[in-house]
Amino acid sequence: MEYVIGILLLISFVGLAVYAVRGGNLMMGMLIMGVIWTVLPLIGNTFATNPDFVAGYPGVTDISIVDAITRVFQSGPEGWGSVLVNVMFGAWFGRVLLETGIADALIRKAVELGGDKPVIICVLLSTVTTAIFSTLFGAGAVVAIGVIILPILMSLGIPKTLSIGSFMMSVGAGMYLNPVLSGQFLAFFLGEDGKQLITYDDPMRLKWAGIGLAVQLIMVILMCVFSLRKKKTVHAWSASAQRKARPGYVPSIALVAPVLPVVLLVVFHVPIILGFIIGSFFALIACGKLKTFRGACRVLNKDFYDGVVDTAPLVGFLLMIPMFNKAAELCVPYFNALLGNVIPNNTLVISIVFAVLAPLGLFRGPLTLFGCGAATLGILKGIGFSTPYLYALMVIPSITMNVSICMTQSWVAWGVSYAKVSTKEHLKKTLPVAWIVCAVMQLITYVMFG
Amino acid sequence: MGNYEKWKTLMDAFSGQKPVENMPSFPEVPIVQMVQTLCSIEEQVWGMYAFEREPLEGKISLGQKKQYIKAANECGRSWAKKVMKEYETAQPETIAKKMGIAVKKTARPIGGEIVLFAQFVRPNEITIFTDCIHKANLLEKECDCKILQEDILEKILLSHELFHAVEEKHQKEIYTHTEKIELWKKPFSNRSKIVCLSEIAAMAFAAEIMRLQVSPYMLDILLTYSYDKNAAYGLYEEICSLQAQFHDEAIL
Ligand SMILES: [Zn+2]
Repeated sequence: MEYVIGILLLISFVGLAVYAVRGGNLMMGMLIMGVIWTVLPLIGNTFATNPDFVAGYPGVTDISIVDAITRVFQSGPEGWGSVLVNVMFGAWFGRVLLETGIADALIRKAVELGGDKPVIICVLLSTVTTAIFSTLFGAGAVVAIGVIILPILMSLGIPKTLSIGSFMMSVGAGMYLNPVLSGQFLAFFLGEDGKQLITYDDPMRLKWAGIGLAVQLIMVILMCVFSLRKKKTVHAWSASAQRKARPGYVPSIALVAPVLPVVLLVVFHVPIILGFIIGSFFALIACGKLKTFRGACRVLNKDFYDGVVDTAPLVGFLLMIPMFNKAAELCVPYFNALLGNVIPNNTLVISIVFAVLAPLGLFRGPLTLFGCGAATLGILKGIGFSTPYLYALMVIPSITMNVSICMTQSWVAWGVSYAKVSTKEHLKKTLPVAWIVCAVMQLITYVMFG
Repeated sequence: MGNYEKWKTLMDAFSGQKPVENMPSFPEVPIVQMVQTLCSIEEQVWGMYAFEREPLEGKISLGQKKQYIKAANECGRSWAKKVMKEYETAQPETIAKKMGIAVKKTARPIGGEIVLFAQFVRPNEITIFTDCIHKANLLEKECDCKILQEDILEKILLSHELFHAVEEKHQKEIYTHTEKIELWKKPFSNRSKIVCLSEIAAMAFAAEIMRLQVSPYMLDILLTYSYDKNAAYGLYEEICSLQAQFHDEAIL
């Protein structure tokens, strides 16, 4: 019986992968999978006869139907409430950086340092982008920064594929340290009592995240240097959008605002929401936007509203993931019965497999936590690896493959269509680089946590 | 919108398939009136339009910009004369052939936000995207604007890109490449070209070769119009406000 259910689960897993690759709606996909992965193990539990199997997983194989559906459909999304709140505050902070013109000013400063040298510009803008997105989160923010940076890159004759590839991968590099995205990953690792098993400011995790940011940024820079060595730059005549009204004066001191919340968190252990609030007020005051109390209220209100609207597209999907995630936990006994003997209980082998198969993090595949990877994690958890190791193992392909280059990531899809690059061209440029980043990071993970 | 589309838009929005973008909508202008106004806009104003898109714009004062625009236009025209004399023809196709440039044509549909008209890839390849030419040809029937005629438009696009080829060939002497500004503070130095000067000069070059009375820069707006009317209205509004600014300054 266990095997039958296990095989059915695997088939549905493949089904989801196919559905995701074919561009199916993922919110719906996650919901359907959540239902299937709740129903199948419940059926299995009813008919399981093997006493060893039943006794092996107390609290899972003997769970009542009501408990199971409560855990999946109620506690699951509720548990992500805290993540969502972080996302909202992060989005507000992002809006402030955009509205005050700080992000714009930072980019301009970088361009005015680099001039017409494509390599220097690529390096500077990648670094600035990474710094900005070590705090900022959301498709709205990526689009807002993208429409400033991409035309500059292209006007300097940098090929479209490289412009998009380097920009999106720099965003991804920042994501390693990004508290909002990290919060989403950390929510996959909750104990029985709902407490986080690993936290953002865990020193080893933080060190690892910093290394991840550096490795990906360095690879992006190498990609730029390597791609531009032949000087095959392009001069295109294209219509550009209407120029944006220049934001008001931004003093130099305000330019540190983007990294302020992360610095406060890492160095002074200021919780991230307070960090966002301090960062926002610092930015607004430095740029002279808070001169009167009434004006301050208006600015605050508008930025918060716009920020929340920015994240709205994400919320639905974010709230379906935990259902799937919780349902995957119910399936662990069946995956173990089927695959337990196949999957090695050896971190070196697992690390090598993850490095070699890193592209399976694309198209919501089995190695990204924003896709079927939620199930992979469930299986691996059942085998019993340490939490920091599992965290790093799964987060690498989730960030470097899914968030950085995959077409199923909303902002990557936006960028690729913005510049009219084909999916094939885009992957050809970015996949080899992303793959190397994954391999290097898996090696580092093995050394640190393996 | 049918039920299916509505449902799909809703689902897409919730699952983060499409980021929210709020492109403002600009006042509509009849195409005939737009063409008339665009024809009357001076070279200097188009130059300011080009500088709006210059990454180093913040480093250059208004007075300097005006001088740069003048010099870049001069540069484009004088090189057009030189090139026509050297190759003894005013036909851009023939010039391209004699310069050893490979001219490709691609029909590839190129909608979306960045509409490509033509491009020059170093060192010697020009691509013309014919999709925009066909679309412009349809527009020509509506507004009777000569430069939108298929064969003329194609030659304008080609001439513009030819200027970039000329720049490539004469890097050491051509104004758009030799004119540089210092970006770093002493004792460090990073001298940079001003990218938009190449574009201004390329437009003047194309106008000279094609003997146009108007600036080819107006194609920016007219070609965009056939893909995205609102974006074109936005560009139109921008150039009109630059024109108004220019006249105010002239009176003062
Ligand atoms: Zn050009």
